[in-house]
Amino acid sequence: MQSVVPFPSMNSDLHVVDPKRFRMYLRKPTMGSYFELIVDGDRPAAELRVLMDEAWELVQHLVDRLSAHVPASDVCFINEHAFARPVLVDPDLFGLLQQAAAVCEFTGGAFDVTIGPLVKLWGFFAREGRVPSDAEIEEAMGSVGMGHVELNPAARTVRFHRPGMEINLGAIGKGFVIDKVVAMLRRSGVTCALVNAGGSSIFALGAPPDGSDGWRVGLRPGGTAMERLGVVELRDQAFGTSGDHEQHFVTGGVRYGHILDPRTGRPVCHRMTACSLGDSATRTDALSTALAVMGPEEARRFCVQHGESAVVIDESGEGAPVVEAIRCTIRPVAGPPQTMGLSPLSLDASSRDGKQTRGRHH
Amino acid sequence: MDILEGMGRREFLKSVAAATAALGLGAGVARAQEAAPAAGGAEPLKVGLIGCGGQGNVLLANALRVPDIKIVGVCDIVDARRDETADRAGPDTEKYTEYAEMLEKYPIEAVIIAVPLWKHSEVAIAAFQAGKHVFCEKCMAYTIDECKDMLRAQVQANKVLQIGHHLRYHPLYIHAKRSFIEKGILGDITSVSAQWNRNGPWRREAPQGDYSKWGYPSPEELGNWRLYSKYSGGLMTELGSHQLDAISWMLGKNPTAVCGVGGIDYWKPDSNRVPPEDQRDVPDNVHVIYEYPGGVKVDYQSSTTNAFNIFGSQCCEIFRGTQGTLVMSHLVEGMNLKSAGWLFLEEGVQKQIWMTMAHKVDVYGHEAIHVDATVTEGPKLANQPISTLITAEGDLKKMTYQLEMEEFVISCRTNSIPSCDGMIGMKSAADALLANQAMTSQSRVTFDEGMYAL
Repeated sequence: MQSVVPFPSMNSDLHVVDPKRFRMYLRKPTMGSYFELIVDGDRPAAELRVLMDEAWELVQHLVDRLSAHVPASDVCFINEHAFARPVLVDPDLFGLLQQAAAVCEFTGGAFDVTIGPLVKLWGFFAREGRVPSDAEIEEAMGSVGMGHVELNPAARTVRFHRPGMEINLGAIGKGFVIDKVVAMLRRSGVTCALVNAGGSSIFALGAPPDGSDGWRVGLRPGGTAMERLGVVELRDQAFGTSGDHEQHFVTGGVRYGHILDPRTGRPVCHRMTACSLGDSATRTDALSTALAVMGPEEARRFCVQHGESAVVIDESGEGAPVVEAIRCTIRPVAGPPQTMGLSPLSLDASSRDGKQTRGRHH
Repeated sequence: MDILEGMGRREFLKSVAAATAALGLGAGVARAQEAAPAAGGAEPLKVGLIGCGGQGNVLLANALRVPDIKIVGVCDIVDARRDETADRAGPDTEKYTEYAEMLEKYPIEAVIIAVPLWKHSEVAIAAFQAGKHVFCEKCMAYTIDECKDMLRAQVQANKVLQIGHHLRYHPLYIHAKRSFIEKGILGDITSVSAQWNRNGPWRREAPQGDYSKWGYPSPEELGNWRLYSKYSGGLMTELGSHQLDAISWMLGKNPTAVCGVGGIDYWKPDSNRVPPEDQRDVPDNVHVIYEYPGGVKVDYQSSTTNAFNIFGSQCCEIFRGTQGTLVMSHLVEGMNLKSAGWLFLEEGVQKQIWMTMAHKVDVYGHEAIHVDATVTEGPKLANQPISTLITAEGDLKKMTYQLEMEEFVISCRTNSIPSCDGMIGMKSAADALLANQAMTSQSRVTFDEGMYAL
């Protein structure tokens, strides 16, 4: 499933929308996919440029600290040392680990950042998929589980109680980066922006200045050019989506998707896309993964029971995908996309870039 | 302070490290590898951080990874920045506004100094006078005289002074120096080109508040001190000194003369490209040429209106020899250690066996051999000391800043000379400062060995 944000021209980085209003656009490769930012505002272009530079610096800084693919990152440091001794953690990262623990508990373990050993075992870390033996899975599972991680808020330390444990923030890190960028933009007085990490995690700050109620995010089936199923409108809202349409491998005629169930140590079997809506991109990033792990039925029940806003798209059947919106509205695709007077393009916002694993963050 | 007048480096080193054997260049780096964890269960070194800006926080994050270091206090005149940094340093971290108060009141053994350039010598000298070891960010000081003042204070205190030229601790740079340059794989090097180019006004968000009592008439001048010549040497001291230090170190020699041109050519004050408070007076576009012994010429540029670099990052150093070309680019992967380097052989130069096995890429028809310490081990580093940093993949888990912090703690514990000591720091500062002098005076400025005499 792919979501699409109707998008103004992105061929250059500065648009004069009107003489007093500028729009800056930035797209950079990172986190195994890309980071994208639109900032719109009635301030000098030089100021907007500084903002964009600062945002990109922040993204790079966070990726260097959070990525399991960066050998000198804080996460790799924790993975290497936290079994031997408690490791003092940066306040931001500690907060992120606390959020990860909370979502883990909330979802009954369907989301768990300690799946690092499984990601490597199944070959998704290096993007060279392989099917491990049951014994290997069982052994790896001994080093998986947030319950074996001790977070000490007073000392702000993290400690592993099992050897071989590895944190992998691939299913929550993009959302966290987005939230940090949004906070930075808000501090700088920005009221209109769209922040997008790999198409799988988005935050819409304010609404486009064309009078729309919000930024429109279109939903269309997995990475194809098929017609959009509908549109959700976002205003001061985060959107996370998870599915495994592209990241998978096939062995012996069996398809293995990249979304791993931390409870079983195996890839999930159901074909679906899960989208989560909420205030925090960190949370929607993690929750969308948890919903994709749960499967359509459990995900629907879970969202209704807990009052979560979500879109669950069941693609397991032969026919058209079954789309269900829970506590949110899917609007029909109607009328032209938001163009603000500029030529329309589609933002490639997609779940195909993966949630549980990433490619190398280069 | 004339007791050291005319003192040469040898005597200086003796006086600093009387109790220890002087260590050769690079030996300290090898020791740094052996630093963690805390040896013999000794108490961690109690360190105070002075300066909680961007670089101060980079150093803090890396110091926190060294079990032998305990950051016990932080100091900054900007309250919010100081408090955030103290929070990062861990619970119970002491907070100070005045560095003098921290030096006086708190039982720290060493300081990390990451304040604006014009304050380096003042803070370092006060720290030495209070009996502390000093790690000072590059560029060492605002003038060569101030570098000398720091060195004199260091000798009197008999404490360690380490300067933060972190590329000297970079595994790939060490690898390239030892395996390519020193082994003659490049042949005779006669030319080096380097750049650190950006596209942007090089501005930072200014803090709120009144900092006039500390010498900053406006928040703008504090937040953007790099843009004002009364606090900074601009692009040459803030960016160039990193690379020029690395070039001199890798070539094994220091420049003899420099000329160049620079100007405020794009981000002009009172233009619509910068906000009205921006009254910068340092160039945004510098191009300098150094002469080194043996006919080596080094050209360096740093500009702020175009960030393109075919080698993938804002900065690179290109060493050109009769047998080959070495390109180093330490920002390719951000500030982690997966930086990139490439070796290009000249036409007709015979490949060594290891080169045939190394990872290679095609760059517009030229074969580039990846400088990857884990793959291109040169002739397997057969004659290299086992402790060399670059052979173990594990070292890629440490940022250069962590490696320099590890060496600092060992130097403090043994009162020995770090790989990048004050004398090296002074010469690298001179590279940047004399380039500025050459651009200002529009003349060729020579480096006189006598100017380093204490």
